[in-house]
Formats: sequence, structure tokens, C-alpha cells
Amino acid sequence: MAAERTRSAQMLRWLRRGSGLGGCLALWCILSYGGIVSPGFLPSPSGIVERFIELAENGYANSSLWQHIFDSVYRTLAGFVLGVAAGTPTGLLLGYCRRFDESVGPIFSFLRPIPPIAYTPLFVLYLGIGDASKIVLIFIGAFLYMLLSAQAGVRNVPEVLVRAGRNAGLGGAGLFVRVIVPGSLPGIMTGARTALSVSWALVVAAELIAAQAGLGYMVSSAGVFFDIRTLFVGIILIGIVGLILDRTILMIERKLLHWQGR
Amino acid sequence: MLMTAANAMGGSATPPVIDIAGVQKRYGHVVALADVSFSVARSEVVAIVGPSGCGKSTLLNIIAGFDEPTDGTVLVHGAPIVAPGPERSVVFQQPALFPWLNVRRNIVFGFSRARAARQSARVDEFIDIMGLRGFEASYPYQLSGGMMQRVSIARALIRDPEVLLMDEPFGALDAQTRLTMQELLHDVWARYAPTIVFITHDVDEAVFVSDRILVMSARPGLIRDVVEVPLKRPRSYELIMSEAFVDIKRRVLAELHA
Repeated sequence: MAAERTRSAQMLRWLRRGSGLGGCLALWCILSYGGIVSPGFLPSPSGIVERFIELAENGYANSSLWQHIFDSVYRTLAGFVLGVAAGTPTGLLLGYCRRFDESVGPIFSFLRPIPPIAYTPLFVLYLGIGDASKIVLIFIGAFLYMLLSAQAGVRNVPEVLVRAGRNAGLGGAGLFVRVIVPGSLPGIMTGARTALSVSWALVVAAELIAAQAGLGYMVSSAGVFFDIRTLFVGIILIGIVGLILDRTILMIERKLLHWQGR
Repeated sequence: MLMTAANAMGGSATPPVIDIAGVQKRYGHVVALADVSFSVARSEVVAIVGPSGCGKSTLLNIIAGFDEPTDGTVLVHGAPIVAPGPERSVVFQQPALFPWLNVRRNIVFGFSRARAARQSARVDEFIDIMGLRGFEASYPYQLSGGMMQRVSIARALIRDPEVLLMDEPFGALDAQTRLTMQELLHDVWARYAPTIVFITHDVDEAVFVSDRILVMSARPGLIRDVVEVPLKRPRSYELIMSEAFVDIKRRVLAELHA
């Protein structure tokens, strides 16, 4: 009885979840198949699927579709991982060690308000239009973001836990490793999740500006040639990859922070 | 005759575990503690009661080493306090368990891996005494407030502290659980006879758990009176209704309201 009720409640929940997306899809079908909007502005769902299959078979601009996806993901993850690896310890130290914060903090306070995308032309000039310029750009974005989150994470470690740590005889490095770092993990993970979505947005933006491959490049180039169907395929793929990245890091977060009981 | 002087200070002729003399604490112009002196003998349970703002938590923080007195001396086994340490283990009012560690690891927190392994049998002993069997692998979020304090007490005791500093440890628990914990504290005392400084604002609790009650008043923080609690151990909750208990409670309340 109870199991049945929960099962039906679950089905209702899925129905509600599907109804929003389904509604959008239905509206789209009516607009395109009903001839209300010309396919030059809004391609039909089947038109986009057709184009997707073509792209999957023949590629786009001398690269396979998978290569475009791979390039964007590779640049994002490379920059993101480096940014997290460097930004997290730096931020933790900034939060823990006042003298360190006083001496190097101002550098980051100056850099932080600069939107990383503003560096794009500079890095293209330095490093060309390949992977390196994008990876460095994303590195900077992720680094600054992780710096901020790790520093805030340290501040959010409850005072009573710091006291409990000191009461156990810990101080300095011991307190840092055994109390501050694990205590900052929730803040760090929230930061990493946002930093990853920012990184994904950055890579697409950077590829729009200057690149020879990648989803951002595909979209930008399709726009130039009024190839509206490729444009739509590109945008949808950017959305799907972004979603997969977000779900993946969410899964890692749940695993690392299982002790939060959520 | 010398015995009498010792009795007045700590209730015993052996040198006191804690010796506090002329301690003052000022924050700018605010006097949190004005000239506090007392000592605590080995295995004695001293409760400190008083209204909020009387400086009782400040006093505990000074003994723990989290805070420094503006004036006066605090000696533990004759040595001044320089920093917090496990020989003065604190049981905090708020759950101060590390949420990323399970019960067992919380209990041995601060131990090296080797020491934790060596003490494994003692960890089991404390898990049994504190009624934590079956919860060794649980994380704090899976525990009730009472269970968390059981872990906190186990963590404090396994360090063999010279003094156990309890800062309103049962203040956040419901009445039923609080009573269970107070009785549990008696069991622990019967077994290990730890020296305890117990901060509370609950007069019943103070009388029930302690050998001696320091009644404090606020603004400035002062010890107004010292009330002996000559009730024999072991104590159980029926004691609360006894005449002797009520007499002591009346005396403490009279001092608090004077």
C-alpha cells in the first residue's frame, strides 16, 4: 500500500518534471511545423536532428563533431583542474595565515574584478589561437574563483571546531591539516562547482573570439554563414555538455561530503 | 590547623589540581572577572553557577587556555597555563565533533595513528561505558544531541586529563536526556574519579553533579558564595526530591537572587 503510494507519487513527480520540457518541445513543434516561424529563423526539431546526424557523420570545418566537443572539454578541464590545484591551497593559506593575506591579498583584490574574458586577446597574442591560450584563460578564471571560495571556506569553519582542535593540542600546521582543510571542504566544493560552470562558459566565449576548433568556434562560424541549423546543434550540445559536467562534479561533491548527510 | 586552611581552599590536604588566585579579566572598561580565587582538589567536582554575563565561561576559557587573564595567576599542578592542551580537556556546549570523522575517529582525534592503534582497547572501553556501542562508524549528523555529548565526553576522558572542563555540556539537551547524562557523569566519576570543573546555569544540575558549588554574580564577575554539597555518592535522580538536596538548592538560589 505504502510502496504503491510512493511509486505513484514518484511517477507524478516525473510527470511534472517532464511537463515543462515537453511543453516547450510541443510549442516548438507547433511554431516550426505549423509554418508560423520560417525555418530560416527557427529550424524544426527534425531538421536539427538531421543536421546533427550529418555533422556526426561528416564533421564540421575539417574536424569531426567529436573533435570539436573534445577540444572544448579538454581545454575546460585542463584549465579547471590546474586552477583548482593552484587556487585551493593558495586560498586556504590566505584564509589561515593573516600575514600571507596581508602581503599577497592585495594582488588578488586587484585582479579579481577583471573579467577573465578580457584577457582573451592578450593570450591569443602571447600563445596563439590553439589550446594554450584557452587553458591559461580558464586557469586564471578558475584560480581566482577557487582562491575566493577556499578563503571563505576557512572563515566558515566553526570557531568551536578550531577550539576543539587546539584543545586536542593542535596548532599551526597540524590544526591546518586536520581541522581547517577538511572544515573548508564544503566551501571549496561549492566553489569548484561554480568555477566549473564559469570555466565552461569561458571556453565557449574564448572560442567564439578566436579558435579553429571547439563548440564555441562551431557556433560562431555557423553564425557567420547563416547556418542556423548547425548553430542550434552547437548551442544544444553546449547545454548538454555543460549539464554533464555539472552533474559529474555534483556527484563528486556528494561523495566527498557524504558526512554532511544530504 | 594547617589542614583547616587547606580545607577552606580545596577541601583536601593534597596539593590542588587547579589553583586560581586573584584572577581578573577586563575587556577595555568592562570588568568580566573581578578578583576570583579558588582551588580544585584531585577528583573533586566543582560546579560554577551564575547568571549569564557573570564571567563563568570566561573563567573556563582561561583555565582551558583559550583566553588570558588580565591579572592574577592560574596554576594547574603548580605550572602556569601557556596554551590550550589535552591535559585540560573541554566538553563544549555546542556539539564540537568533527563532522567529517566517525564516532571512533572523533574519540581519538588528536592522537597519532600509532597512539590511536595502541589505545584501541581503551576506545572500546569508552564506547561501551558511554553507551556508544553500535555507533562507532556513525557520523555526527546521524547522532542525537545526547549521543554527540557522549562522544565528546569519551574524547575528553581518553586523554587522561588532569581536569575535565565542562562548559554547560548538557545545556542544549532536553530535560529527559539531561538527567540521563547527569547520571552517566556519576557513573564515569565512580569509575575514573576525574577532576571536573562544571559550568552551568541550572541549579538542580549543579547540586546533582558537584561536591562544591561556586555561586557567581554578574557585573563585575565575582564568587559570591561557596556552597558545599555533602551528598553521598552514587547519586540517582530520586535524590532531587530529598530534603537535603532541596536545602542546598534553596541556599544556592538565595545567593543567586540576593
